Amino acid sequence: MQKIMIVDDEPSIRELIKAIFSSEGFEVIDAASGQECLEKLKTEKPDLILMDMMMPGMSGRETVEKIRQSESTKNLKIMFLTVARFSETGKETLDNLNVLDYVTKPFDNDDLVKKAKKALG
Amino acid sequence: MELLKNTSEDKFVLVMLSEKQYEKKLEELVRNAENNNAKICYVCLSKPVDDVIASLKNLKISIGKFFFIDILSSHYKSRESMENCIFIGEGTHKLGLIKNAIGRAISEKGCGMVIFDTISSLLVYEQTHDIVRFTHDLTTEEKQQNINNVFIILKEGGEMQGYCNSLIGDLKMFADKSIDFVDD
Repeated sequence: MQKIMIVDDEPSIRELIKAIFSSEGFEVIDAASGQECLEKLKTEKPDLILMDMMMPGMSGRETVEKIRQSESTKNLKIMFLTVARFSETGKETLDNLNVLDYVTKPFDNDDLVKKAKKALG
Repeated sequence: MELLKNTSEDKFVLVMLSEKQYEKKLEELVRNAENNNAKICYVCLSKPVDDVIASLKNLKISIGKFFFIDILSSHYKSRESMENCIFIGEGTHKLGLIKNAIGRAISEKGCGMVIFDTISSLLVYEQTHDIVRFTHDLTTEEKQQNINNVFIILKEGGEMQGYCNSLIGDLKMFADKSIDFVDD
């Protein structure tokens, strides 16, 4: 069973995404912050991470930077969740961070699942 | 060089300055904005409105095209109202109050450009992600559709350098245009 990690400070978003992917047959784990995500990645190896961009403390961008710096997590597949559209500079940053795709909130459930499955390959 | 264009493509402009360049480049930006046809809403985040007006007058820039929002003066003394300024008092919802004041500057005063001098000053009161969300909310609101928002940010953050770097990194992800002035 493929494992998805959702990182978002909004409990309702985490619950919604958990429900969506559980019904699609995925195992879903979650983290409420960038810091909690990094802690969990010491023991978990998700096939895909869905990362919120705007979070208190460590932002999604900073969390991904740290994930890419660590030998054990640098190759993990990551997608962003964001309420804002990214600028051209932002898209370049996504490329540099090797972020596969992004989904804007509020999202269409089918679109989210489709993009996640495409990212998983 | 035309830095600020009154176009729908540049709704969210991020200007990164060092302290060394601040005065010179701010003057350049303000003159550039003044040449724009739009009335300008100047959000005073790092110095009181009286200081800003004195600086503009020193530079022989007419303040007739400016409407001000001042978040500092009310901390120090009670202010009499001014026709061309909204004073934000002390409170816990400072970002909401600033947003409402900008809304009034746009709808009641006809401002077409908003200059934030300097957005990094908000790090004293607010968390980085709240400031990023604030900039996003402002630039995506329907009544902001034809407004150019110029966020000036100082690259030096002193004790808050880490937060400042984080703010710059996150704002760049969403800015339509990023201008990074590099020291000579």
